[in-house]
Amino acid sequence: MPSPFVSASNLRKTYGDFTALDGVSLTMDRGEVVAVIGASGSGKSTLLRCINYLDPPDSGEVRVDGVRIGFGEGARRDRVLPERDIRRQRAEIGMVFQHFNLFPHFTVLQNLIEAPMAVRGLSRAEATERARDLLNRVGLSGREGAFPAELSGGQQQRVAIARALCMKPRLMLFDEPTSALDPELVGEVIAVMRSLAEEGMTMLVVTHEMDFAAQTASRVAFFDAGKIVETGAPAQVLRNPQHPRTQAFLQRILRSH
Amino acid sequence: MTLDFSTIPEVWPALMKGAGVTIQLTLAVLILATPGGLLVAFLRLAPQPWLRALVLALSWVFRGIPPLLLLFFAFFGLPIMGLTLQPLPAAILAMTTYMSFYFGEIFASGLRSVPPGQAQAAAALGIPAHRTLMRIILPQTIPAALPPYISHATEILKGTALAAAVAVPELSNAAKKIFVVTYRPLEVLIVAAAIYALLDGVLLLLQMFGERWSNRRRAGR
Ligand SMILES: Nc1ncnc2c1ncn2[C@@H]1O[C@H](COP(=O)(O)OP(=O)(O)OP(=O)(O)O)[C@@H](O)[C@H]1O
Ligand SMILES: [Mg+2]
Repeated sequence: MPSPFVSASNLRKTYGDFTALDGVSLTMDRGEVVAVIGASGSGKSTLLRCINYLDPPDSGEVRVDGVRIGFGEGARRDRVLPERDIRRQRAEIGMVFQHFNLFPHFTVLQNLIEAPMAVRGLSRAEATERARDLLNRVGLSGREGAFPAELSGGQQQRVAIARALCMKPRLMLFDEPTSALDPELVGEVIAVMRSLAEEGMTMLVVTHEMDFAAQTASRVAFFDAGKIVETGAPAQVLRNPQHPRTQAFLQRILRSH
Repeated sequence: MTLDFSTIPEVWPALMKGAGVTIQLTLAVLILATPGGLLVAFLRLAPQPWLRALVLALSWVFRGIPPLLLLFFAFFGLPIMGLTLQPLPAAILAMTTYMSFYFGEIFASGLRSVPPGQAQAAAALGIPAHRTLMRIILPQTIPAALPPYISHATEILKGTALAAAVAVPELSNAAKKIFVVTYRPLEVLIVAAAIYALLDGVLLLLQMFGERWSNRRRAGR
């Protein structure tokens, strides 16, 4: 049996005596798009931060393309890597945040080329070429010189996606990428994510956009109180939920739309 | 009362020498207390609670005692503990310590003003910690930290007069040495005050430019 492209096994994470992740396991095939839904505070963001070790889990393990995140190989198999090495592993995993987190004192171009130059050792020219390509892909060519504050929220989030892609990640994590946007700007970001999915990017997407989950995700996972309580094809989980918590959550979402 | 400035040309070189020491002392403290303040700021925000508490307590102590007392401690107290300093280095040490804690508070609140998402985004991209600090975090503290930083720098200039108490030959001390022999304190003090005002003016100009620049940055350009 081939091992999955991404596997998170039995992740636990506590903050004080609060359990944010209570034994979460999840696997993803290459090119799969998994949508994570669930109530506020259920641990969705914590799961993403544990997967790229921004926040190391208390126990459990994460593997991406066979590499165990946070740990070395061979003789160093059982030892937590120094932060410096973890950062290198993390560079393979792109992350997009709810509030974009662009660097406000950098131009769009600087935002994109900073990490490829610092981490991948690309020359400025190489990084710039790659950045222009990506800006073109997210529909923002010509805005290289703008500062984030000069862009709309939708544009900023597209820059943030391009910034993550500039590292040529193997996995992309999205944490409610459209939740901070005005409704009329959600579509442009979703469109970029869709085209990324069509190109075969492996994506784990925390979202409240049920249309995206229904149409683009290959699987939906429903989170409740630090656990995945239900997972399956979008049609199944969204239209015919089995777990009472999923049913209640979806009803609430439907009512509020 | 008549003012007679005729002796000034004669004592001018001595005043200039004093002004030179004042400038030296100001710059030395500024140059040393700036990294000192950064160090204090990082320790104030360290992940270890005991370290944060320790530095907070030190900061409270050092900002609470009169700088003159610190100066006496550096000059008269340290020799008893085996470290004898000349007046100028003693003054630099005392003022640097004092100012490092002031700057530390300014820099710490500057660092706190940078949203945590910035460091998170840099970490998610794999950017090394030191580079994140130098290129992502610190530049974003400048708009908030620059104006109070410069206004404290003018405090350093005025504070250097205290060093006269341990016989540092700075401007105030030079003025005093002159008028005790010329018996014309008013004229010499007026000239010394004018020199201070001039030096302060340079710092005020810097402050003005700094504020204008940081307002522009805050406005998102
Ligand atoms: N660094 C932290 N320190 C303490 N508690 C935390 C921390 N991070 C998360 N938590 C807690 O863990 C719980 C889960 O948080 P998380 O952000 O993962 O939820 P979420 O499902 O992403 O919610 P939301 O939809 O509001 O983003 C929350 O109750 C939160 O208060
Ligand atoms: Mg969240």
